[in-house]
Amino acid sequence: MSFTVKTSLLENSDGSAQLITGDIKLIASVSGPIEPKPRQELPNVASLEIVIRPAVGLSGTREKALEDKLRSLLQAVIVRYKYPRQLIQVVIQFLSTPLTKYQGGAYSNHKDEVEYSNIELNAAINGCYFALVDAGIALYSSFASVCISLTEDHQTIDEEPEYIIDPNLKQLHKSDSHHVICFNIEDKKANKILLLESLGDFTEEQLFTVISKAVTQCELIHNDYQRKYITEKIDNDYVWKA
Amino acid sequence: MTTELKQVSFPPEVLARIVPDVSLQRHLSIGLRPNLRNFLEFKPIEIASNENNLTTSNNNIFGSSIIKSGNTTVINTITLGIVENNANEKVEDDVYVSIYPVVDIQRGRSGAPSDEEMILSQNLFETILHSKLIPKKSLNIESYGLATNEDGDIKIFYPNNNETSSSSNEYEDFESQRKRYSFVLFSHIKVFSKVSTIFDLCHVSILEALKNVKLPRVYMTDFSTTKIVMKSRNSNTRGLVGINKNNINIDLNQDLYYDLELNGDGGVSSNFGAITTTNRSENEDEEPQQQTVELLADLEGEAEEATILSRVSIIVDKSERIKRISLINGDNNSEIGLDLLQKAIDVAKLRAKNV
Repeated sequence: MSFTVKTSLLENSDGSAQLITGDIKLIASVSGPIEPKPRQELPNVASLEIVIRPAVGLSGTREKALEDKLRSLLQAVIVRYKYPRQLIQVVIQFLSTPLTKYQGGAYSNHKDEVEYSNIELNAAINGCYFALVDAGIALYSSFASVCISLTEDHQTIDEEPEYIIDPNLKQLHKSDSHHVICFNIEDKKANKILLLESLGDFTEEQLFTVISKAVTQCELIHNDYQRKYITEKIDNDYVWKA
Repeated sequence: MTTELKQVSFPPEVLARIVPDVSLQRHLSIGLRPNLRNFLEFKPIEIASNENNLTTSNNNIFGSSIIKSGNTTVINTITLGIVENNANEKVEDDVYVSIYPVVDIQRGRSGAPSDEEMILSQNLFETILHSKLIPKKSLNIESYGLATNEDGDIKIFYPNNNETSSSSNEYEDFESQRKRYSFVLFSHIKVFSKVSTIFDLCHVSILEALKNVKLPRVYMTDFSTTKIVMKSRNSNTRGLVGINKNNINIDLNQDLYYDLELNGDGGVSSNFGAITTTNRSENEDEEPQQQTVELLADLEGEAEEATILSRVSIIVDKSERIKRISLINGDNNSEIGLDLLQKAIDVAKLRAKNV
């Protein structure tokens, strides 16, 4: 797993972050708290507007479904009662995804039509975190997300299946199931599951193994990347920077 | 002078509208849900028998299902499209495709699809795709017929039931240079009187419709040579060009229809929500009150939809394999932890076995 993060790269939004992880590159921007349109306004909490833009073409049902999943997650982590009657706008622009990388290239075969929108959800969640911190939006806790795929060897039945953390498109094609798990992190420890999206064919036992693997991975993301990049960001942000 | 504040009381249905959360808590504290079901009781689903006349009386519908649950009715019809396969593409055994669902929730007005409909369609598409239900091979058009026009008498020859030997030779020539095609499935889902989350219902309706999909044979005509006028942009000369336009036609002879082969049963979808309830002790003076997180099955109605934000949707098949889990802990006070997830999976498994 690798993370490359750049924060505050957009001049006109309150917070922004560019994240490169695996084959996915995206920019997340956060504007808020700002004044909402009258129909968006909620009397006691902040309303959220999530916009996801694909790397190629216009957004469609696929992006709408991603927006929905991201919204239900952000609703649970943003301290919404701190900004009543206000709007927090989150925009995720994908710059490249595995599909755009492979289309027309060496990997353009019929399997391209198989969609793995969950790996984009995974990247969007992680990108959002940095942008929200950059915008100074109050959060209940930190959060980190990880994608794990699972490949069973169908020849040997009793063999332990292969767990791949942060799989690429080729590994996903071979996999039997894939899971995106987002944990909230308090005091450097993964505490509880915020979101779990699993698709494919798997058993209960495999699911719980995946969840336990995700705990260590999310803690790793937080301790190795999130803390590092936020420390860097704060060092650069203020006048007394070294 | 003092004015006394009068205590206002509302009848239950008014209370449910103004403060759905309070109303829900009052119900739960006496061990009931607003819809009068038990905590882990599912709403019954009625599935109309396979012989509904949607399929038989409409030529363009190749599979259908009608589902009822309470007042909600879901009507699903499956239509077909034909696409040309990539020339050098080989259809492998382990390639699976999905169905393209269009969910339409009837609200008495028309217009662009709502976000809810789009999200539902996309989730259904991804679920069917990744549960590896429809092998690409079963939608492949292996061989198609050839229609010949002999003195106004149109006959269709199929490779496996040829009557005369002369036409079979003709057929082989035709077979060797043909293009490859496959079917595409479209599912049109109409939902009437929606009262709760309908992913589960739509999922059942797609599976039921897929089970009775009958695919038709297709044929080509070899006599559809037409002449069309071609005009060049740079000159004024016009010419007649003969094109042999091979039209793909669907043979509506129902005796030749064959079943769509599916991989597995697709599973049964169940949804749950978690909510913190306060158990009131019998004796009013007794403290402290006990707080427990309760799991509710098959959320329904305004109070449950608005108040319960921690939800999980699980699809399990008959052999206890899980096909999909979508969990979101939207409520920080009542979260679905590992123990509740375990419990939800157990209930979903039990339901999948008994449905």
